[in-house]
Amino acid sequence: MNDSNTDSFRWQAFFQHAGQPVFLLNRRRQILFANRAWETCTGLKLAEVRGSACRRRAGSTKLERAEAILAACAPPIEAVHGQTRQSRRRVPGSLDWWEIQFIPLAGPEHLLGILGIIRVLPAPTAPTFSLPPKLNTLRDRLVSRYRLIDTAECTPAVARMHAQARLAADMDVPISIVGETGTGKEWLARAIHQLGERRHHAFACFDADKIPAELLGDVLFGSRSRQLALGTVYLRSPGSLPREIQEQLAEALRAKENAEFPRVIVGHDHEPRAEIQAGRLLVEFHFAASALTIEVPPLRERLDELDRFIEIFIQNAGELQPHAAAGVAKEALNTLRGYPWPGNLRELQQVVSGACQRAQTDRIELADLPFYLKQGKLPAERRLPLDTLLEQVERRLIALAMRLTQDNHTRAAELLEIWRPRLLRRLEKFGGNQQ
Amino acid sequence: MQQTQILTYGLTGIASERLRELATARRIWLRETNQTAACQNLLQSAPTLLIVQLGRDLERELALVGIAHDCVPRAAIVVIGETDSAGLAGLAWEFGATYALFPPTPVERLNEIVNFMLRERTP
Repeated sequence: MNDSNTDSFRWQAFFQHAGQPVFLLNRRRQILFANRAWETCTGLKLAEVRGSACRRRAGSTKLERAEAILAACAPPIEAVHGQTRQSRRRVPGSLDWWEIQFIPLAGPEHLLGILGIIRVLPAPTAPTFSLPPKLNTLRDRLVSRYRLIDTAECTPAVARMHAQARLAADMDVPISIVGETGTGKEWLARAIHQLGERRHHAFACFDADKIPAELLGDVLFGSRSRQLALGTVYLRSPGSLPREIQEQLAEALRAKENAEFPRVIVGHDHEPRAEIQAGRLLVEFHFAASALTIEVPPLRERLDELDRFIEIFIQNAGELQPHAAAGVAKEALNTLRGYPWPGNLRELQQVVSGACQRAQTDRIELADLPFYLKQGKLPAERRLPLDTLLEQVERRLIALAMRLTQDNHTRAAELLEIWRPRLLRRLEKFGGNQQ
Repeated sequence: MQQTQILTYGLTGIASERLRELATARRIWLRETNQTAACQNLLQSAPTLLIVQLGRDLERELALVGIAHDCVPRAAIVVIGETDSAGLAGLAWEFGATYALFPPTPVERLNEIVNFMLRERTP
């Protein structure tokens, strides 16, 4: 292409014919240009919105349609900082989503503008599946375990937790469950799901630390979401969710117009406020997802229920490998009761499972419990001075090498794969008593 | 720290085949079985990751996922399905899968998923 052709090239006309909706923002995020496909897709005229800023409106659910569309076209902060980003946005007033590619256009000194290309994600069809009866029976057996049982041993905190869970099941609103690691937050979320109206749909636990963001986005908002028809989604480690997904979730939870969007239950290991302050958790998402907050007490505050938990875990261990243990000896039980259980139910399960494997009789004896439990001190509290330990290992290895080589320094150094002067220095440091 | 261990179950051995290179490169202990009972026994060694490829005996295989979820709560579980069955994928999630890798998501993404799940555990 020669220079005159380049000068006469009309980029607007070029984009006008593109089938995909395209728009261009200046660095103040104001609309400079949008093609016909964008006008058709949004229902807005370029002439009406030219110069309008595309910014996200935090917390606002009742925007004018034009405002809502401009907010949906707002670039994420990473794009403003020069990084290409892909975002999924809810189409205002519709159940569909847009996937927008934001491409920053960098000038010699600063950002010139941002090009946005929209891909309309087609609404997936409703699920059409049925499970074989055998699998349905298996599912029924699984879900029957998630029941809230109020026993006489229940502490007031546990009774309150159960009451809140029942209330949550009736309300069908997003819930936050707060509790230390291993306290059974997922179990409670499953129990709430089973009590609620969505129990005939699947329950899924998504751990943001373990699923790549793109795949998680696809399961929550993409074409997979409606096919799967999940009833309840339990989100573990919400602070690890990418900002983009947190925004989308906040939007989806606020909109409430899509009845097929799964119910969201969020599990927090720590106080959510700390995560918000650290910038990991979006405040909008947190508020949208915590219409009700349930606190799960740690195991040390519900030791009266210990016997019941031990019984369940002995049963679970039997599923993994048949064992003789059916109960716990009194002495061992007292030890279990006296331990503070910093790892909560998860730690108790590991201890019981290990003890079941070691048990020689039909009862778990004190000898079957881990040593640290009998000592009454946590392994983490024992000091492990690394330098001292390494020096001890080094001293032993040098002594061994000297013995094997009958005190020949050169051969001992070769054996240890170190230089001879270094060996001599170490021998000197250790007082030459190696020889 | 405990040795990172991946346990795979499947009749065709697709998962272990795909992960062999990654396991060697990252010094991960890869164990493979094609029997649900053997897999259940191997769960006692508390693997970091369990990969279950669904095959002929769905009932036993899903039960295995449920047992792994209950008895080895720290283990991540990936369930691989060969057919595009939303019902089955939903059931895999329900039984405790950390991720259900079903079509149209290609099985080629398994390495990416495993890498992501183990990113903080191995060099």
